[in-house]
Amino acid sequence: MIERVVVMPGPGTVIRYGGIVIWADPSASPALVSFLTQSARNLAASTRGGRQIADHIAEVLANRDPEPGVAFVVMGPSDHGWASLMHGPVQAWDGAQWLSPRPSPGWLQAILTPQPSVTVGRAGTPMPTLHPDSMLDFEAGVVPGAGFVLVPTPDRRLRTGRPADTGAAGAAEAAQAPAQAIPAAPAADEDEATELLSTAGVAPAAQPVAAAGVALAAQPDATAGVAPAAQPDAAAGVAPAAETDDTPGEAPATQVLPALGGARAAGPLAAGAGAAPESQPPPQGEPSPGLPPAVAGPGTLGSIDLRAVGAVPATPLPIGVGPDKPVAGAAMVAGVLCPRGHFNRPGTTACVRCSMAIPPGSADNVSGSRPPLGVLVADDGAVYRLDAGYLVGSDPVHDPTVSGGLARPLELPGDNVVASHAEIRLHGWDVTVIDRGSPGGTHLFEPGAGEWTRVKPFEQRRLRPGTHVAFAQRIVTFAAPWIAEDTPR
Amino acid sequence: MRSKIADYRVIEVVPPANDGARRYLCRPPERLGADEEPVLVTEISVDAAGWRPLTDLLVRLASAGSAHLVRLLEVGPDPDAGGGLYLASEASAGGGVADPATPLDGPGRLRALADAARGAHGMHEVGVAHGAIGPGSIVMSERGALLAPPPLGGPPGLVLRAGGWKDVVTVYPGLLRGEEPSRASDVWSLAATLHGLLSDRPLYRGMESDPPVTAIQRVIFARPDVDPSLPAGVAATIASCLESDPALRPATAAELADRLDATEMGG
Repeated sequence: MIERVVVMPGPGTVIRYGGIVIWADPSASPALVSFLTQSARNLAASTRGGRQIADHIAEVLANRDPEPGVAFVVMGPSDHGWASLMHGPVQAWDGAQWLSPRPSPGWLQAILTPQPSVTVGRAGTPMPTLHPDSMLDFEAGVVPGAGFVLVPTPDRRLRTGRPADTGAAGAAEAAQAPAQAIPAAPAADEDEATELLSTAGVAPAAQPVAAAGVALAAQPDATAGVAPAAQPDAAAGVAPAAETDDTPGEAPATQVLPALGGARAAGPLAAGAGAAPESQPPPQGEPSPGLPPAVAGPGTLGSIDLRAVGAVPATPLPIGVGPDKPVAGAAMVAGVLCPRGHFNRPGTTACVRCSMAIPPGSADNVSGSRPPLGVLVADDGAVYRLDAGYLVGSDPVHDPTVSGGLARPLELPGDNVVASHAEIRLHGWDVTVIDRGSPGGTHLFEPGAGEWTRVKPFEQRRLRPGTHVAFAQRIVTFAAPWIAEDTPR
Repeated sequence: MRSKIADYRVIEVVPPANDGARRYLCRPPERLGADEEPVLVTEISVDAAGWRPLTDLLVRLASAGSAHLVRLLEVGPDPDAGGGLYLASEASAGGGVADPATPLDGPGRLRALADAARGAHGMHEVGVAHGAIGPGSIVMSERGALLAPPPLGGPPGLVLRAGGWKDVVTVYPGLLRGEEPSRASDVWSLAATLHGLLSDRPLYRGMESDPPVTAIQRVIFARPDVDPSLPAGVAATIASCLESDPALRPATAAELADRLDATEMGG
């Protein structure tokens, strides 16, 4: 998918997980960087992760743009090429043309065709050329940087429907292309970029900022980020409007991605965050297989008379002890298998599911879907399953992390607990906590410790089983089947 | 207190169970064509995206056809309670199995658990695991003991709300490690419930003084300890259901019910 990513030195933050690469300028708030990082992490393995994250952020921005002047770019794979969302004063060079959101502040969604690479950074800054023999490569994590150069593997370079680029000869040529000299970036207020983007159908400057990107709701995949282009520009760097997302079995993203602050349709993004697809509703108006349609009953609108239900085809629960049922959307991690096929944390000597002994070294380092990592026990007796991350706070449901399906809400009202107080994340086999810079703070009382210690804002701290976590005055305990001592990662 | 839920007239509020849901004893509307017998109406907190999976689940439960499941009457939108749903189900005048209107002797309690196990088996056969079987989810009726529906709605990821150790003692430890409910977990909880009905002491030693969080940790890390003063046959059946290896437990709840039917309280 990605051959390599080269980070440009300078101010800002570069994030990469799997196929998702992000740059944010230094003015991005820690909350924004945290949100982008978590999004990248959750969608790292998705072959459509670029499209999913771009669509998701576009939905967030369509509702509210909390940091309109901040420059950031997200980029990743999609069915048709490299999906991107550019926000604020940023620029991207794909080997043939410059792209930049106009007007700024504003944002732009586009499908890019790296020829052979994409260079991203703050608008108006000079871009380096990529030396073909450079060994620099950023594989995963969050590092300082003023931008990045993304070099896809050859089969990903020219998959968009840009008419001039679809030929095999063109692909081969691009794949073998040497390092290119990048022409000077246009100044942010020069007409060149404006003209180019206007040709590509970017919304006119008169539109309000929140909608300054492009209307997305009714557009099929390949046209995301561009208005229906009456005159496809071969050099515009965007897929022609006539191309549609015909991926079998996949609904247009606008039907499956969650909406902000209200009812959510489950979709790939939610699944990536650990939502269980078994419980996801089918599209509205489409009955579940084997179940009768939900008909209005004789009384209140929308009621169902359950007395009238006859036999319904249903699959009985399995009998006996089978292998673990994978958690939908869970990360793939390395672990060990017990003799019955239950997936355990490395170093485990007895299966946490069936207690069978696991001989040391047997079936070690098997890759599998991460099982739940335990539970969080709140001081009010509520127990939450750790098969997904949580945002803890007094009103977490309105945070984009939750409304975007990247974390579940764990509502914990109390003195000094702020709306979005801290995040509980799952990382490999570890459970971590990150305080969101809350005034009341987040404190840990670890097993064997004699006192509470405060978590620094935005510092990621691993939780050992048995650790008490105080979000201001409210306490949550992490309980897990693993031993409390440090275990191999 | 609400006076109406949809067109059901509230008679009284029912004490809360450990799922946090509010329940009301209500007079049903005439349109149901039922008699004036009160019904139980449960508020279900769920957002619009959760409606369809939840109603699908209830349709499956209603199709189970077991005489030992609480009969479900109607589910519908409850716009006065934040846009959730309401579930109307039969109300039992026989009380809960732990506090029945007509006292149960030992054999009566065994029969009640056998009935509940058959109800659980009916759920399992339509693909639903209960996940919260305990004395609060088994009610007495003219048809014998009935298993109530599993917890519905609530925040995503919520396993249970424990108000005290009694809410935790029947919870299968795997659920507190993050596992999903299953036949094996329900069999475990049925046996733990039976132990609570027949023994004077908790399944875990010392648990009676635990606050909820400590009780949860005890369930996760301690082994259950079956009361040796129970009749041998009963203790053996309970112990077999509490095996840490699920493969050693009765394979189905129906198998447990049959074993209970064959078990003598006298030994």
